[in-house]
Amino acid sequence: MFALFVQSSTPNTVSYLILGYVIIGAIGLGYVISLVIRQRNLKRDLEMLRRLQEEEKE
Amino acid sequence: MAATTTAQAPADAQRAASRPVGLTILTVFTALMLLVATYMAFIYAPTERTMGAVQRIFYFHVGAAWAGALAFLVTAIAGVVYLITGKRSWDIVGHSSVEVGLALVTITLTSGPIWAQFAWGKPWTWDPKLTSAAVMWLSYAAYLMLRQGLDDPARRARFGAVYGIVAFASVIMTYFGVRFIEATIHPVVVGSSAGTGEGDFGLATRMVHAMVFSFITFTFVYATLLWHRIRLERLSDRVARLKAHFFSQSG
Repeated sequence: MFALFVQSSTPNTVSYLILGYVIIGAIGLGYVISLVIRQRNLKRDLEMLRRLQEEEKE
Repeated sequence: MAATTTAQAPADAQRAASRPVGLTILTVFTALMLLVATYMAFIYAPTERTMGAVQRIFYFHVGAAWAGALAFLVTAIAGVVYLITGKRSWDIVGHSSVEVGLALVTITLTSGPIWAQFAWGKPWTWDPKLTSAAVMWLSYAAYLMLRQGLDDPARRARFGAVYGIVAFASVIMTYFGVRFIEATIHPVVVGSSAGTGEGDFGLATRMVHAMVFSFITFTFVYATLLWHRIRLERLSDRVARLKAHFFSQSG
């Protein structure tokens, strides 16, 4: 009976919870993606420089 | 680097680009920790009676806040060590830590208002704690922008070191200073406060477990992201040196 009372008096705030974790996930994922993109670009630059140096040697 | 030959430079850079095993293990471990922390926040911890499910935001909100403060502390320490030693590696640590810390504090500052919308009826108030947190965020965002405006690497590193130390005052104010201001309505989850928080809640044992686990998880999240960010900065340095080396030869 007590559990029922507690359950009925507790507000339904699941939508706030979902929105909160979606935002947390989006920021976290966004930062990780930015790291991946920056690393990929640097590796591409590195590869290009390596090719240019090899061409120069030839 | 001056002694590096043309053949060595790409080899060094190639080595820098390959990921160490330790980092791969840490990344996988942190991802697993995040999964467990999510389980603990959503299922293991009981539902708070007066607020319901929205209180569960606090596990990640507070965890990210802790890791953000840790990141800025590392920046301040790296700044001190840089000013003593003058080693570029400490500038890299300080700069990388600011970027990771800013991402973590952004999580805190965006998740808090969602809880506040329910608990206070509005997402934001110019309460001392919230205002101080906003000032802290702006201070470190400015650090990143101002750094980019300086071309001389030594000057940029010195600026970063001094700024990182001075800006830490905003962290002390946000996390400790406002506890002594009675006007704050922000609840204090860890430690004692003036007791004026709106939306304060007691923590059941399982809630404490989830909170402590979230603290540990976010410490790992910070360490993992910092390691990745430091490697990125080193790779960027190597590419820049290689470019300078190549163009000085071809020019």
